[in-house]
Amino acid sequence: MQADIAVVGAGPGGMAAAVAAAEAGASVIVLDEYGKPGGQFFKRTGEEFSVARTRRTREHERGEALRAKLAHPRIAVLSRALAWGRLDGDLMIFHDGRSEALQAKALVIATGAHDRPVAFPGWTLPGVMTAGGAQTLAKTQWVKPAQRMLLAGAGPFLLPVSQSLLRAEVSIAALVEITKPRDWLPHIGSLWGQWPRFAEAFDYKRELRRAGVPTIYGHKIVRALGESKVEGAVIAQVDHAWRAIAGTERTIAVDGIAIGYGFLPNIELAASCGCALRYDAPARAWFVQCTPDMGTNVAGVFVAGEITGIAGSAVALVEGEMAGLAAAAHAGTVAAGPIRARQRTLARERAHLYRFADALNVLFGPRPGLWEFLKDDTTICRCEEVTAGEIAGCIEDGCSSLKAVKDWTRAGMGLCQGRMCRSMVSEIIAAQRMTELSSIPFPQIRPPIKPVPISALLEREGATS
Amino acid sequence: MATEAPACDLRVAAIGRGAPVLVTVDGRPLQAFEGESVLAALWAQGASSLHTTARTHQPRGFFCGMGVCFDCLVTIDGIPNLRACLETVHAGMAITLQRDAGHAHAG
Repeated sequence: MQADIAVVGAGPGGMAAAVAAAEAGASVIVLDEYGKPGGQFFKRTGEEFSVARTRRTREHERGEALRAKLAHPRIAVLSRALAWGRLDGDLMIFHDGRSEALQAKALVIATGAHDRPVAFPGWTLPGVMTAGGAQTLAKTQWVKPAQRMLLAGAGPFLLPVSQSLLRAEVSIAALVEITKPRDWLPHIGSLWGQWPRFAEAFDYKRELRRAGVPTIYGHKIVRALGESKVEGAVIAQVDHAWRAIAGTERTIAVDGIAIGYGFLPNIELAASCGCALRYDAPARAWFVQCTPDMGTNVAGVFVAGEITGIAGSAVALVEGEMAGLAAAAHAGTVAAGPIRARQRTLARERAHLYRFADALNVLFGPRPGLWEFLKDDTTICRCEEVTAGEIAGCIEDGCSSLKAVKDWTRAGMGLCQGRMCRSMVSEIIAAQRMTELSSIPFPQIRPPIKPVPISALLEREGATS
Repeated sequence: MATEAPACDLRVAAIGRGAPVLVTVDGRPLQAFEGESVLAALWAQGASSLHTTARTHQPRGFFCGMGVCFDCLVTIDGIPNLRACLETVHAGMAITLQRDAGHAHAG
């Protein structure tokens, strides 16, 4: 396979990059792990379903418009394709049971983010899920994740998720928001002028109110109850550091719990390509370090969207266009001069949108109390079933890096390759050794960045030897 | 082949779906609809435990629902460790739930 530009990820950032690059004269191949373009934000139901207009969400039309632009003659979209690494400059793709190498002059990585996993006793019970996962099942499959659910988390993402659940006829027992409205006041200045976003929030709140869903502020989920599946949720009031306050627990009968305490970026592919990372203090996470035109320290590798900072779809669209233009210039299909004016406009727009994103990230960014694992037997690594106690024990014995903890306990060694537990293991190491989280480096990532059959790797060996 | 009456159905009734297709789960027939993910088809009919874990034999459902957590692994037409949330049903699909072994199949 060959193209001027390879784009990995078909969410808002990847789609915008592909369209911008194609319009700038480049041939583009978009690789996406999912069944249809859209990513998480513009995810939609399949053509097989028929859904009344009134159940559709506000993203629907915009997603359709962007998807239509992918029909550009210079764009090819390969769905259900995993880009698992970059070897000798070739992008390695696993698709339809086999591996293929893609030669491209430039690469745009727009792999998005996933809900931040947060452990608490009972979080591995069937029926505990991420807010994004609950929304996907409701909004794209029209299957209720549960009959009666509790949503717990931080920040505005819980609003569209609850809307999707309500439109799929799920009863929502409560929306449990960890911050309080009075925490928001100091940030009003940064939020000033972002009226369309407020209008969106009010629309969501109105729908929640009409459905009689209570919002409980200043509380978090502390435990999921049940033997073989969720039968209840225990929430508790939190202090300023998001620690549960003893004696404030209360139990709510539900058969499903969705958690949404923000997002973690999918930076594994970029990291495996050698892209430099930066630590972001409000998000307590690592992101890809990017240049003003969305390039990286690796020549020919560009980035867009959540992997550069959690900022939402509006920023991803702008960054995608910037990355697409810069990649086309790098590939030589457009001269740097003619696109400069557009790049300047986009950079200004990005800066404006980032004011809002930065405020939200500070306001709803995780605080240390989120990781007070109430019991040592709480599972942290879901794949290898490693508990908080086991991890604490090996740190006590001297392990001080993610790699040491993984070698000692197997935490992070499973099929998710640490995507679920890594951030929490880092938090435990930092807390126990009383160091800054930023001093725990992101681990070395090598291809394949997600599991592929060994035959896919052997094919490559055969091709190069 | 007769379809067992499901204990419950979490599908939203008012939504039109694709043509009905029959799949099997551990050899038993299960009604699904074209365009549905394997996860949706299993979850809709109350299969809250998609696999049990190797070490402590605990039931697991799905967690991330978007291909990241690898907790909804099933065997499909003989291929183990496929993410149910990313696979789409087809007529005659043979789904096997992975009990106490899940990740032991890794490779």
